[in-house]
Amino acid sequence: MKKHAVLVALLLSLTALCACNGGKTGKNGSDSRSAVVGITQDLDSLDPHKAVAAGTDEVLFNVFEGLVKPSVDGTLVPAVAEDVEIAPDGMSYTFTLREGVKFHNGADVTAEDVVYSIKRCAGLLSDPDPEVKVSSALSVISAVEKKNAGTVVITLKEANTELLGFLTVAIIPENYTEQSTKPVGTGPYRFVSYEPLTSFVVERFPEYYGETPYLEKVTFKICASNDAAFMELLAGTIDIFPYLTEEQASQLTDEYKLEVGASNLVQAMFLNNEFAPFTKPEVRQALCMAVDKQEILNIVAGGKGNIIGSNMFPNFGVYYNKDMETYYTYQPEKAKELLAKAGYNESNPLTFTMKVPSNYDFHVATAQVLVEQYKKIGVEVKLQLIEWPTWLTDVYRGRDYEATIVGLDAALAPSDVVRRYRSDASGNFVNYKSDAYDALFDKAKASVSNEEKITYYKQLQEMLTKDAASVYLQDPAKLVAVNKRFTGYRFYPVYVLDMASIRPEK
Amino acid sequence: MRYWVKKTAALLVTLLVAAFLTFLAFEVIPSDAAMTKLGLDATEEEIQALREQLGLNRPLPLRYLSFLADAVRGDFGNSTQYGRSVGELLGGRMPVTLGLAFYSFFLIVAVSLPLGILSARKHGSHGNGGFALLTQLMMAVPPFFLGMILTLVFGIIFKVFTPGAYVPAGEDFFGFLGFMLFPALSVAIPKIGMTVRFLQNSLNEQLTADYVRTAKSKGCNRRRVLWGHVLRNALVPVVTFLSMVMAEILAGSIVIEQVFNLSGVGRLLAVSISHRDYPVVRAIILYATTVVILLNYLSDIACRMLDPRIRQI
Amino acid sequence: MEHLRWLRKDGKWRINFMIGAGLFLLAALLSVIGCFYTPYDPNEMNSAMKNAAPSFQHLFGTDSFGRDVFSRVLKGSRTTFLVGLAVVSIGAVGGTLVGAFTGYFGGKLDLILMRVNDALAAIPSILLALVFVGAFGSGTLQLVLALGLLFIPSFARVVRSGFLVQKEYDYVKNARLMGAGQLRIMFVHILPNTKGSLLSALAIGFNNAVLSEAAMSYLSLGVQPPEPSLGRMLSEAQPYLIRAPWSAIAPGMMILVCVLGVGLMSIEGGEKHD
Repeated sequence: MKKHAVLVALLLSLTALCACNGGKTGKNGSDSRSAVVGITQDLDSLDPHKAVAAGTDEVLFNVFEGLVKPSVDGTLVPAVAEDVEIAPDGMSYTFTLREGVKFHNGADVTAEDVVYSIKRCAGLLSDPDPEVKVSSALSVISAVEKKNAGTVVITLKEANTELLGFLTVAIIPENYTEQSTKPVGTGPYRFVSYEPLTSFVVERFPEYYGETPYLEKVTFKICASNDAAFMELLAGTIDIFPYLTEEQASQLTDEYKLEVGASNLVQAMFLNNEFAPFTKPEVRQALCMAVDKQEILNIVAGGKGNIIGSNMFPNFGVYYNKDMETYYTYQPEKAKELLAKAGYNESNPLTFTMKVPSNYDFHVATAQVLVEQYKKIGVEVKLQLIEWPTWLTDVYRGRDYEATIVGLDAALAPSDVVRRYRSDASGNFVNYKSDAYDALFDKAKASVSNEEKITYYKQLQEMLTKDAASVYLQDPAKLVAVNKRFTGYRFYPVYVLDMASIRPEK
Repeated sequence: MRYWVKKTAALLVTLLVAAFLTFLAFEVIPSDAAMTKLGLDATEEEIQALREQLGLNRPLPLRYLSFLADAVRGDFGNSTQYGRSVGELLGGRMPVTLGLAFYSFFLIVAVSLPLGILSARKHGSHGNGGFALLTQLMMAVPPFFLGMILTLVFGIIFKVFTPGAYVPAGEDFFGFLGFMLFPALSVAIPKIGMTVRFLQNSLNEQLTADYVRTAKSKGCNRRRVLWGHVLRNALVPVVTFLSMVMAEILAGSIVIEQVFNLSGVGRLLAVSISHRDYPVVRAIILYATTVVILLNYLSDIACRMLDPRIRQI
Repeated sequence: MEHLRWLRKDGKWRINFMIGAGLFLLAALLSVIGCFYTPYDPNEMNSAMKNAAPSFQHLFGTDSFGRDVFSRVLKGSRTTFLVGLAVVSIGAVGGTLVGAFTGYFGGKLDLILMRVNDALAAIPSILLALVFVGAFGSGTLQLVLALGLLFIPSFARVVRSGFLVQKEYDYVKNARLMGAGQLRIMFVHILPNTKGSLLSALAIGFNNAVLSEAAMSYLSLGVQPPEPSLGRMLSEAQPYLIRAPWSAIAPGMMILVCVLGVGLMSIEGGEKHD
């Protein structure tokens, strides 16, 4: 009997130990001028020119600025540059730099720094660092020159009036070698510390030229998973969490309010247009008609989100062709007929494999709904979950797949979102080939008239829809939990988390 | 002396085998560091250039040899993903995982040894039915499920601890103990079930052995038989088993670190594999191999102390 | 009859064994039913019935896709149990062979195999799984092979340590003196004496196999969605633990019932059949 007593005492003491400690642990966010933001992806680099992941750009938005930067309504506003003049022929851009802009290390931003930064991103430095992600959109730049201390001129190889959307690339000090460990930029927040898999901490930059942010310190806490982050949200250790699922949003406690915006992604079941059955347009069209998009939204997102019909999302405003949303309605019978014409019926059913990146629960869920919907018209879809690097290698680069599901984002330029369908584009992993499309795309990109541009881009979207290049599904809703102490969370048409706009709730 | 020379040689051989297996693994799985690092919007030339810089383009045997040469000098290179030295990266994550491992191990030993002996002593009586059910139940619970339930019940409902509020042991030791109790319990509970079960079996095997009958017939009392002879012998396989459990805790920490949002070696490993960060993965595997082998040594030594016959092997 | 008599020991029924067998049979029966009949199509979705609580229409409620959890449990347990059994068989046979030879003979063979064993034990299963997908593609057969291979080292260690102890006993020496062959000594004389620890290892192994199945299918190896498997159902239900606990509890209980059954049977199954 004694042994029992010892054991019980041991267990009790352990419980007591943790119980008395629980009370002591303070909540992180009790200091009102600081906030903890939960993120679920580790930063892939602190050097903004080496960062590839959308999740990294999202966070670094607070530390770095380009010549221009995106605003809430989708326009580009001056940042390090004060003014820009685009030559009427679309062959050169002249930037007037803002005076008194300082780097976080105290140095002034010079024209040399600007030239260096743009060259680095355009791959024009004589000694390039292979880790720097060279933006393919910037490859049209032929020269970046300093005209005088306050002016920089960018000249292009060919006319392009949409380059501004890509000139949001960060301006960094010339020849500063510690960018990857101690990043220095011009944004409203400066770097404090970074611990891999743990946190990224920034503080207010007192010499910022713009409006002073309210929050003095922001901690981006890197969470292991969405579920883990949600548990912390329930416990109150995170103030802002931008990746809620619909289910989680419905379980939020009173301490938080829900902000709903758009993810700015094109989620689609992409089809390899060179895979035998999908070479026939009527097969692809049948697949578009057999999908009940509203049902998908209802199941995977509680009805939230925006149905799309082509490769663009609504936040592109005037360029977005809304008519495409209803081009294919849910017509399973007609889809069956089209398939029958192409030679697929009950005795010879259409079957294909869909490769799904396993790290995206949202896509995995959507794929499962698609399988069921296709089953109803007699199409057999097999799912194959694959790891993200394998997806990159096999699906995106190797184009070795039949169908896949993924969400694609874009920079603030309509050309960026549709350029992957140009026959020779390196990102054309759907193998879409159309001469008419290529010609129209080139015209759109070079056009100097905005009205013309709008028409062309709408036509391009229509071509993709009519040809059923892929099965476009939705721009998923972005659900953000914000602690009720704060207000002013803003959604952008690009993937960013702006902490400078946060204000206290009065 | 000879024993140690032999064992060290064995360690080196195992490390070589492990390094080679890891190396082969990275040859077989698709994608590499250059591709994952540059993402969607990269051209073939850019990927090639980065491969060149990371040394991924050199012929296979050369890469393996140069790694061996570096490793012998204690240089594990830089993480392709984080750009930091692997040593620094691992050093930062190690305390979390080691803390979790030792804490869980302590719980396992502290709870399962008394329980196992207790249950073996009562073998055959009615109390044992409930006991067996309990240990079996402990074993049947998936650790990540247990972790979620513990977080839900003790973190969210009763607010005994704050999920995600990990504090390093160096900063606040009792805070550390208080928070880590729950991850440690998630790791330990299924293992406690197993260890009790294993000890019980081992004890029962010994209790039916001839020497026990002999001892009993000689008039030794039950208590002396149990504590003096049976336990000693029964502990031999249990010690081996415990060393395996300790090794498994490291592997299992990937899941538990995920559930409790701890940034330890397990999470680093998972992330590094998905970034094809070969230097980091290799270093973690070599580290894990070393731990496994050191544990084997320790269990060997413990077994030799418990059972002198093993010394002749 | 002799077997039935074994169920009574010292005038008392072997309660553990009988409860265990009952649970195991229940689980087996349900999964056999799942092969022929499920109340609903286990994959059929219904957006109007998401996360519905258990009712007479849906005995175990519905999951986040509005699928009937009871039907999925029936269908999923078949897959899961078959995978579990196959994996444990491969692991146990392979591990017993390796452990028996290394434990009995010792020497160089022991040295080499145990080093490979240690190295394999140290390599994370995620990496090995990825290697398998890379080399052989994904699918249920590959899953069984990969997990089976992963399970060999732990069985080998258990058997080896048993052999190390047993081979010193007098009965082994006697058998040798009587001229029994090495293989006969190993598998006829020694192996039955390590039955206790081997059976525990089997029960533990089965549990681990069922759970690893979930982790592996997440990593693209093995059972692919939407086909139900208990492990996958468990991990898919994780985000809904607060709102719809039944979709996690149902597969969890099914695993529990089966593992518990096997475990309870193995406790007394290890005792001598005299």
